[in-house]
Amino acid sequence: MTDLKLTKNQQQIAELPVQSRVFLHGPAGSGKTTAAVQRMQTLIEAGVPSDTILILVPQRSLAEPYKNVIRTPQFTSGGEPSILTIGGLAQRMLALFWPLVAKEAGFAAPQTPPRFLTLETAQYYLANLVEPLLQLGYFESVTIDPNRLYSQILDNLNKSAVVGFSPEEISTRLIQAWAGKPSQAIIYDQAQECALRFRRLCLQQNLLDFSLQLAVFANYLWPSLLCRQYLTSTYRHLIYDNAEEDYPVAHDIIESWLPDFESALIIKDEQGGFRSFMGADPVSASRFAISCENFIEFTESMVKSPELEHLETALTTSLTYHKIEGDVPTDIHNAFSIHPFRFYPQGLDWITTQVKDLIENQSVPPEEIVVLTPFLSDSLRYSINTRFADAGLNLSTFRPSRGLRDEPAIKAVLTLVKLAFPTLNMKPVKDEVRNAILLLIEGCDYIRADLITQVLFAASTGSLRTFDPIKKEMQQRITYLVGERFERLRIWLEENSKDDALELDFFISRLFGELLSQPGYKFHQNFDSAAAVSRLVESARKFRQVMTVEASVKTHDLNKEYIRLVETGILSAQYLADWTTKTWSGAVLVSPAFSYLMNNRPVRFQFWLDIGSQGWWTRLDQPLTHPYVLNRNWQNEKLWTDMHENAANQQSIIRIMDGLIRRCSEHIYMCTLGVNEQGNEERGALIKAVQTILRKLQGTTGVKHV
Amino acid sequence: MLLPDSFVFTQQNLQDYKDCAYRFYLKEILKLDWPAVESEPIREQEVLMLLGTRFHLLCQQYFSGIPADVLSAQITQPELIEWWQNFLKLDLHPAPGNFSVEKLNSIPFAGYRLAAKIDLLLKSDGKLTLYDWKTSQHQPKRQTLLSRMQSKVYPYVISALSANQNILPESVEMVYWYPAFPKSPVSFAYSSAQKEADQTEIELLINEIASKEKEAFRKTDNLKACNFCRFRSLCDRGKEAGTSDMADEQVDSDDAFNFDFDAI
Repeated sequence: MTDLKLTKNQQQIAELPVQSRVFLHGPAGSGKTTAAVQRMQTLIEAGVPSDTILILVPQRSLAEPYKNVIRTPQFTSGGEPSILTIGGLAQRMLALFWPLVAKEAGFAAPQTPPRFLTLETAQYYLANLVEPLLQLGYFESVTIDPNRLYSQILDNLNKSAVVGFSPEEISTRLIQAWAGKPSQAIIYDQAQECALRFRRLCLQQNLLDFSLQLAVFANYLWPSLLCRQYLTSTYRHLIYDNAEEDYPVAHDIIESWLPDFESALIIKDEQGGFRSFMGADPVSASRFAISCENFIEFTESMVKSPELEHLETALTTSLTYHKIEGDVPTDIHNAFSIHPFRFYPQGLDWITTQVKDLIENQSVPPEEIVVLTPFLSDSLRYSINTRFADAGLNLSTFRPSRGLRDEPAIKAVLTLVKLAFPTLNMKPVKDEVRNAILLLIEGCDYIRADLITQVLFAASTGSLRTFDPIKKEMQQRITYLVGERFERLRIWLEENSKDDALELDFFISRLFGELLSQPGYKFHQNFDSAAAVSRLVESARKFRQVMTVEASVKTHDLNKEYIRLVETGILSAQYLADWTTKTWSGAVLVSPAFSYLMNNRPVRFQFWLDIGSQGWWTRLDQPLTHPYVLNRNWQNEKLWTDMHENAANQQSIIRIMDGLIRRCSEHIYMCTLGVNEQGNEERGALIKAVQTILRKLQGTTGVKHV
Repeated sequence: MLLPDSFVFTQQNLQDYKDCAYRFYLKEILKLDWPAVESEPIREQEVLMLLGTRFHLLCQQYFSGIPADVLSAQITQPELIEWWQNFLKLDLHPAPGNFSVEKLNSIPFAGYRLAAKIDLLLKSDGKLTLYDWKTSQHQPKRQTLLSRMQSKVYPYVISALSANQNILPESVEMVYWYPAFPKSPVSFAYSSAQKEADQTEIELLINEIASKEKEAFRKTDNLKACNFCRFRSLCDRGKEAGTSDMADEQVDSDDAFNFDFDAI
């Protein structure tokens, strides 16, 4: 077993009698998870079979500390503890016990297997239902990108599942809380109608999106004898970490399961609930303080210094009351510094230099540094990436990879698909062809790619002409080498386009393996392009496998539909799993603050970029849904007013600030920008709160922050 | 040393290493996505893989207590019906607590962990029987199967588990059961001598891998194997994927036919 150095408090948790039910509460960084990891090991040492331990987390990335121990050679032999989310458990149980529950749950074809939908395939089915309604004038008064509209309708269904109310109540709840113009009620009704149509379609066709998976598990499977027996006999011990980041229905299930466990350790972070927009409910998680026999509280931070503790107190006070009455301890200036810049690039240049200095001159490991921002746009990521690369620094980011349609390698591949299959009737335009040739053929620069496009691409038919008959002078300008590579590509497309019923993912796999990754083409030994094409192939395969269950669907039509969906952004293959579980060993992390918090790893140095941004304060505009109203803590029939909005934003920013400070052990560099990324001047709540602290500091100690 | 301390060895990655050290490097160390076709005909390969996954799930459902007739009513594909009927004829009714299904077992081994996911493990009268469902359409020669890393890793891991300390290797049996060939399962009894030999072989292999630097992960000399490897273009070892009838012996990948619960 792995030996962890434990505090007295942690030792107390680890050494509790096997049959104990404990609620452990405390701030981030107080060592709760370390104690729980040790508890897991102590249970096993006491003879508990490791595969009877269930480690439940709201998000898989939060299970890393457990995995790190389970995978060590010192860990015991035998089965392994199961690490699951409630959503994952629901899907497993549905796959296993589907034949027993499908009919009762209202599925029209209980004798055929379930079809689990990803977020993108769910959006596809929903888009098919909603698009005709948009033509009829639905959502006319809302200015919103259709993909965001679909995701909010799905979000409403998800909220009904995680909070535990009927989808038929969605609009009533939203309307009752709405304090604006009455016309919004129509929008909410339309959103509900779409959600219910989607739910009916799912029941007719055995489609299971996240909301239906959870609802069927909670309402039919969990109460069923066989499933419950299976779960209660398989798992005898529970460790439930970060319960505050989970949703009320998860808490309901665990509360009713609790008496069946021989032991339970339920952990709740004080000031947690970062995933509240996804239904996380710290209030609901507090119930375990009563349902567990033992209540233990950790109070001491093992991460942050006293100075940072003072900063946390000052910032919370300043954000809450907009003033600080008492003195601010003078040592607080060791905890943070302010660095003003007029423009974004200057701020990024300074951060790069500072990070380099920390790593190279102060021997700080790169993984002990994080650059945080409310949002991480593509352009910001690119700007930081370029600067770090030039400075020889490794960087990793916590954000979804680019959507499929924004990935140049994917655009180039789809252009070739269009060229190969004129029957799709999706002729590429010259720009697309030029970019594809430039991106795919080794040795081809922009001028040659343009020449090829002008001379060898017939825009009217959407096809490629052969290189051989063109004038020698033109061949020489293009060069024979590039011409030969172009010709090989053209012939490959011609030879492989005979079967237009070939599944798109198969075609792309062959195209990649037989041509684009061969010598002479730019995907040869290009791992990034390979990763992008892999995502495309996987996304196309998942889409096809869900769709082709319906016998009437023709592959040719499916291929065309898939390309359309990628190009409209409905299918983007931005899976959470791609990025949340990545480790950042040896690299500086650049991340949106929320993602960083949800990965729960303290660092020594934090850089907060653009503390003037409103993004630290304002929540996303979601005209069709509402995370605080579709919530168990919201009293139905109450109006959501500006006062509530303000209080919620205030609570949220305080939670984020506390969370960040509690995950920092040495220093926070705060950057202010005169003009933000979009060219606007912003003065959000965070910068005002920091200025209040600075004024107080100047008044009391004369300390100046640059 | 390139392997992280948390690396887990399995029969699949050890077999990859034996087949081609460079493939191991690309798959396990670089964790490289390479979306080329592994083998043709790709459409048939996928159908077979989905069928295999479905069969594994049916077995798991059966051992989870769902009545056989309820499961039978769920099957429409003729091939799967036949496989399923063949499975039911095995007449397996293990008592609760005497079996495990699709269970991942792992042991500390040679400074790392060595893991085996067993389709069905039966305990009866002090004996352990490991079943592995093989859903390929061709049955390889017995000797081919026995030489695979699966035939070494699985029984070794099971007999090395601390829970099985009192069970002699001689009481362990491994059965490769083919639903398409129900009358000719390939089974073999384990033994102390075999266990010792397997331990030595696996340990040597792991030590060799663990001590290697990047350059030492060399491409295989068996160019025929490259026909069935998705990395062939990366290695400049060919264009089109080989067709399954070109392969000397078909041994389906254990990983491919499991319902991937860990991905959930």
